[in-house]
Parts: sequence; C-alpha cells; structure tokens
Amino acid sequence: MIDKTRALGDFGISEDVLDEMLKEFIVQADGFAADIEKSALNNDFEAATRAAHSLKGVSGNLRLDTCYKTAVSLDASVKAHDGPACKRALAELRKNIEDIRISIVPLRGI
Amino acid sequence: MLPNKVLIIDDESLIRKSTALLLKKIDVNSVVAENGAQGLLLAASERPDLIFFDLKMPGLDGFEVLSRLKADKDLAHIPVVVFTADDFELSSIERLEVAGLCRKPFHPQDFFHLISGLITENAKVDGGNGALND
Repeated sequence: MIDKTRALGDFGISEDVLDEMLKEFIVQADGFAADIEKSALNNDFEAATRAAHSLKGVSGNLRLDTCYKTAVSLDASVKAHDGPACKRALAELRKNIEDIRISIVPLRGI
Repeated sequence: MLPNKVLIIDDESLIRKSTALLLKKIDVNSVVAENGAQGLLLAASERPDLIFFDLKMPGLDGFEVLSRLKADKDLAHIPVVVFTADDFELSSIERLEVAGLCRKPFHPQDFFHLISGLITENAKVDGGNGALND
C-alpha cells in the first residue's frame, strides 16, 4: 500500500482526484518500464535514461516515495550502463506500480 | 506577494497537473503548455508573471525556449524558473539566465517561498508596477 496522506495534504485535493492522477501515473509508469527495458536490451542507454529521468520527476512530484527511490536506482543503473542492476530496479518498479494499483479504490478502468 | 498567473511548460502531464494544483492551493492561476512551442505562444498571449519550464523536452527544449524568451523584448522581463530532476544538469543551469531553480520533487513550502521571493524581487525591479496579488 502507499501512503496517500502526504499527497492529499500537499495538493489539497480529494482522494478521488488523487486516484485519477495515480491511474494516469500507472499507465505512464508501465510505459516507462517497457521503454527502459526495451532500450536497455538494445543497449540504447540514452533512451533508457530519458525514460528513467521522466519517471523520477513524476513519481517524486506525486509523493510516491517508494517509487521515486526505485526510479533513482533505475536512473543510476541506466546511466552506469549496468544491465543487471537495471533489471533488478525494473522488477522493483513493477512491484511498486502494483502497490499503487491496489491502493486505488475502486479498481476500475486500469 | 504572489503572481496572478504562472505559465508551466513541461511535457509530462502529471508534472503540469501537480504543479498547477500546488499553485491553485495558494490561489495562483496557471496556464499550461505541453511543449516549448506551445509555451512560447502562451507566454506571448497570456503574459504570465512567472514561467516554469523543464529543460528536457522533445522538440523545442528548455534551452531554446529560454533563448527565445530572452530575445523577445516583450517577454524578456518575465522571471523564469527551471525544473530539474538531475544533479548533472546543475552545471548547465548555472550558466543560464534564469531567476531560479526548482528541483523535482519539490516540497510545497520551498516551492511557495521560491515563487513568492521571485515575484517580490521582480516587483522591486519593475518599480512595483507589476500585476500582483496581495
């Protein structure tokens, strides 16, 4: 589960509005994960870095702390061209995305 | 003092939305652009009191946006703040003619202090004739 309290307080929005933003985040994060995986497999670490950079900015701004930490690791691994570390961070990212998905009530449309 | 209107230029929709929400919380209106070209058009038509933009954007990137803003005599005075999520960008940003730097993720209080300080400073330079909220 994720802690929504800080995001709700910081943005001054209802949980419904936050959930809509989280749904959008899930779609984007799934896309970033796929892009990073594909780019890293093709040794295109520049493209992977761009996606990791975007993921870091968006997750951080939404106060998704665990996901942000994973994005920082992912960003570092792609910049270092460290394939195994990138693979581990991607697996962690997918767990983080799943945690966000189950935090959204009701679960629909994603 | 706070700005009446802030322009946010960022290709990430959730960065635009989250930044606009923070501004709305302190009663500041925002207009958003999803790329540099759209941002320049909105800067000219909306005449914001402050502009935030990301450096890394597809198409017209933040460096080009800044260069064009500074070359336009009607827009050059508007303070601009760069969004960044990367330490390695800092050396590039230090060379730019920007009023401030906003590191993502940003804490709301730091964000509010930054924009309030920038607008106050700009009002002093303009002789206090800018359109500002109390």
